[in-house]
Amino acid sequence: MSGNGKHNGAPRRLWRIGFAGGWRSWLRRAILFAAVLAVLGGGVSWVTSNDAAFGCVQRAVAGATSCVLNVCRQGTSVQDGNTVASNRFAISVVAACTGLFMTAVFVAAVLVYPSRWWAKLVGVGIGVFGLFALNVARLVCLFFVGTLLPRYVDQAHLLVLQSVLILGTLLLWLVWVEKVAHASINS
Amino acid sequence: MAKRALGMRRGAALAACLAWLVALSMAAVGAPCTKLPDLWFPDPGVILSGGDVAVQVANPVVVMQGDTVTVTVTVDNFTCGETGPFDVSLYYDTVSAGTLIATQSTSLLGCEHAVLTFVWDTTGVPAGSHDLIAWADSGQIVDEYKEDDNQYTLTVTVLAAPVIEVDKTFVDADGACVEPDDLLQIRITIMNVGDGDHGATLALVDVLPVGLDYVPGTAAATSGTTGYDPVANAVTWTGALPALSQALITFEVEVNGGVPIPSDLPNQAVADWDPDQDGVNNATEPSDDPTTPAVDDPTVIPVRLCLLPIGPDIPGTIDAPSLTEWGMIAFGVTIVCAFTLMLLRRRRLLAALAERGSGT
Repeated sequence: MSGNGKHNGAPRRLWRIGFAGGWRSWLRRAILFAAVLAVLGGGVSWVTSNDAAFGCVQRAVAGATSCVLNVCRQGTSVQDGNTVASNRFAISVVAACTGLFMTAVFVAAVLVYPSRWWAKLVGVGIGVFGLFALNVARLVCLFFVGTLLPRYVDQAHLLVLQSVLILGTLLLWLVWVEKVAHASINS
Repeated sequence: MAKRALGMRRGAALAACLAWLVALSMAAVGAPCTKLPDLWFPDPGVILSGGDVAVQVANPVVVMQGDTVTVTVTVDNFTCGETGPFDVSLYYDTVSAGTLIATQSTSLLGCEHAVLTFVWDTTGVPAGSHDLIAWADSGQIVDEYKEDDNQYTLTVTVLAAPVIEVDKTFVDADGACVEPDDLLQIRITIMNVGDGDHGATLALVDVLPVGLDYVPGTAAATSGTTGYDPVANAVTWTGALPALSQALITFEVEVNGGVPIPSDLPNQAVADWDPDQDGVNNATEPSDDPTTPAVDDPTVIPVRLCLLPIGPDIPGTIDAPSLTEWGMIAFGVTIVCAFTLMLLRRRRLLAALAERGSGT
């Protein structure tokens, strides 16, 4: 941090501050991020390969989606533990539908980001429950598109909702960084 | 012959009274005692053939396949000595462990006799003449002055009898899962797996459950006569089945549109048949669902919501992954970029904080 005050102009100072800790600091954090992500990825892999554990996740996602849809009077039921179905449309919750990968990346970013332990705890909670809710909202939207505008299911699924999900997750993480991780600095 | 068989079954199936006189005595005693008249067996005054063995057969020993034969074995101790415990075994055709029907234990005081009852189930026994061999003290545990009168053979004739089995399956006409308004073909196979023919009294009734409506005029069979009883909502069949033959009965039903989803419609046909072929059906055989390991279980028709296959033009079931492969890559890059930028921002904030601290 030495010499920070000797330069004028925000962009240049930002650059200098950013790498003032040296490449080693960045490399260390990058390795830490990769390691945490690997561990969490292993956990996700174990969950998806374990029938009992993954069945619980599938049932939770399918059950919550069906519950929200039924509040909206869509008359859905969960069939075979992982399929949300009405008499007009159905969504099968497979491994990739559960948002576990996104949650793992989110939690890794929370754990590696420099912050207090309680802030990390809040971040993990936001990641797990927030992304679950976001994924359920995505499935509900997709179900409505499938029911009302079935011709646009692919576009909605691959383009719109996927982008919304990525941006929503990013927004959630940024909000956590600004409001929780940086709270002590900002105050 | 049929009436005779029925009579035998009613009167404790078949009573073959084997009077079995076993001269059992303690070695120390050595000689038979003189039995008092009230201890005599069989009846007082009856002269035992051969001096020490008597056999009584109450009924002709003829049964239908599947009947049970009740064999009464009487063991008599001619001597005044106690026998101690010994076994009495009943064998089928040959004396071996594989043909052993049952073994019972008993013991006799001097001049005492015991009556033991055995039951032989002829299910699965080939038609023909068979020997039942009763053997007392086969291990020769009891010391006797005469060992060669401990075995008796009774001949039993087993007549060929029909055995009826029924299988029931269904096929959805559209090949998919069963939904309301679907058309199903019900297939019932009635089989005679026994060695004997079954007469024309053989009857089958399939009462359809609520939710299944018979399609008129669709009942057919490879043999026999089919019908439909609208009052009972039942499909019927009558006919004869020779030994080792079968008949296929088919008819169509429509799943009622009001059947809730999901629901299961269990259904079972029942055959009334005549095991002893005396002209009166006095046995029933429920149909079996051959697709399940359970025996004689109802055929369950699961009514479900049929999910359409995935396809570009068909709005059906879709897998909805949160992110595609490219989505994952985009997400990862975005998070890494955001992470880097926020780290930079954090350091800038910390630097600004340090500047303010040094300024004050």
